Amino acid sequence: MMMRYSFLSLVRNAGSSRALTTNIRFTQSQDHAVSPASTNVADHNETLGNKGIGGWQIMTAVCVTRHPVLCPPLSPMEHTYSQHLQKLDVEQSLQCDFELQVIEDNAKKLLGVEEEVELLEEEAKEKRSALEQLDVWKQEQEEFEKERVYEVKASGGSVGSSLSRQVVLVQKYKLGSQDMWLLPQGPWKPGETLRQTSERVVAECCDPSLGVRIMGNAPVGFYKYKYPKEMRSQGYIGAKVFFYRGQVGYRVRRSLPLLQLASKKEQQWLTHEQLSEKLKQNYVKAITQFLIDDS
Amino acid sequence: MSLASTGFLCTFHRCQSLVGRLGVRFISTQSGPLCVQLTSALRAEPLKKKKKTDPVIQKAREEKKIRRLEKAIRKLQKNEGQLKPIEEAEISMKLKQEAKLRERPAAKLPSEELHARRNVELQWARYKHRQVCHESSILAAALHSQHRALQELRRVSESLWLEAIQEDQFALPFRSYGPLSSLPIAGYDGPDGEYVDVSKKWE
Repeated sequence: MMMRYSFLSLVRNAGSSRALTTNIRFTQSQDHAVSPASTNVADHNETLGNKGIGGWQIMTAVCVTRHPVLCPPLSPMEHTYSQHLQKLDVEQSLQCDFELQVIEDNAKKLLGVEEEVELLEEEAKEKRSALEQLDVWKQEQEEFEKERVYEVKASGGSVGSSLSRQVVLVQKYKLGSQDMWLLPQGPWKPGETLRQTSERVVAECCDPSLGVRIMGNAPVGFYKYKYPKEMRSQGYIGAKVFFYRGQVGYRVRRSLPLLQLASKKEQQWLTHEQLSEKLKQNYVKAITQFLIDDS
Repeated sequence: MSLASTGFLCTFHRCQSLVGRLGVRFISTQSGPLCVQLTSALRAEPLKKKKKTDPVIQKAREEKKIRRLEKAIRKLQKNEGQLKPIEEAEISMKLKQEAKLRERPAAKLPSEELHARRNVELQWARYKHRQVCHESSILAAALHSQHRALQELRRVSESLWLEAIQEDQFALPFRSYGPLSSLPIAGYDGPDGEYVDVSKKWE
């Protein structure tokens, strides 16, 4: 199964030039690595095959998410209900050995039966009363709990932040003189399918070890915006953005070094609340339509 | 070895005699050697002489064999309805005997407690209902958003739209894992245990 998956992903990476059913000619254009900080949204002067697409530039953005790594705590309602179930469970069960032993111990105490036989240390362990045994177990559990780890040493905004929430990758872009946080995006180039554009965008902005996987060939969302006046000289009125969904590979959620990976400059992983603070309201509205809320 | 060589000699001999008899037709003009192959029959050994046994003893042996088989069949038929017990699923005798002892004294619950419990269940049902409604509304919104994106794409470019509605051939197999209750401990070396197979053998 695993072999098959890795093989398939190999095939996909090597040959994303899947035979196109339409007459689009595909050109490999992976070498256009643009550093995000300097990326200008309308930097690409390549003329569109049919520039007349209403004067709009076609863009593809990828909504790269990392799903929760740790279980979120129970909500108050869930907590009450689980306690209720536990109560019912105990009531309907038979008594276990431990409970019988507690009863037995109590009876012995009442009757005043005392064993005065000197016990060896090993035997004493077996002859411990039930409640003493319980204390020992509790101590053992506490020591075990101490070892458990719930946090990753990682700076805020990296892949390993907010472990019990879903986080989304955003990147800083310049739009004219303005700085804007957007989902990682890139312009479509003639000859590509939108899916291929999205894969290129992921390759440019994400570390390959994250194993980001694009879900599906069809875009999941749409957003359009106009460029500021000074940028319209290039012939575009604005951009039509098609969103794709991308998921960080499950290996990342299992591996500490990958979770500790610092995010690139001008990039951040944000929870849904942080998104709505940092991004433009209209943009957030477009995103939240397809972003599946985890809280 | 000796068998093989005699075999070889035999065939060779036969070939020679054939050549002699039929003239030049069996002479090969090929540069490579003709592969002379040994047939399996030639690897045979003369049969051993069969030991003569007493027909009475032979008959007795056969009868013994038949009796043994009959016994096995009878044994199998006797246990026909019985199945192999599953150790884990059986309730141990000790527990069966102590069932009465282990019964929990049924507590009489006050009516407030019963009322509170009913309330919790009611609230839980509402909570789950709201959750399901919320989830289905999210799904509906996502579907709507995708539908709109595809519509817009078709308006922009028919060929891109055609590409987008193709089936994703690499979508499956898809693997996903749920969240953990705590993170892996860095540098943790799991203890080695000894493997002891305690499962019983049933014949």
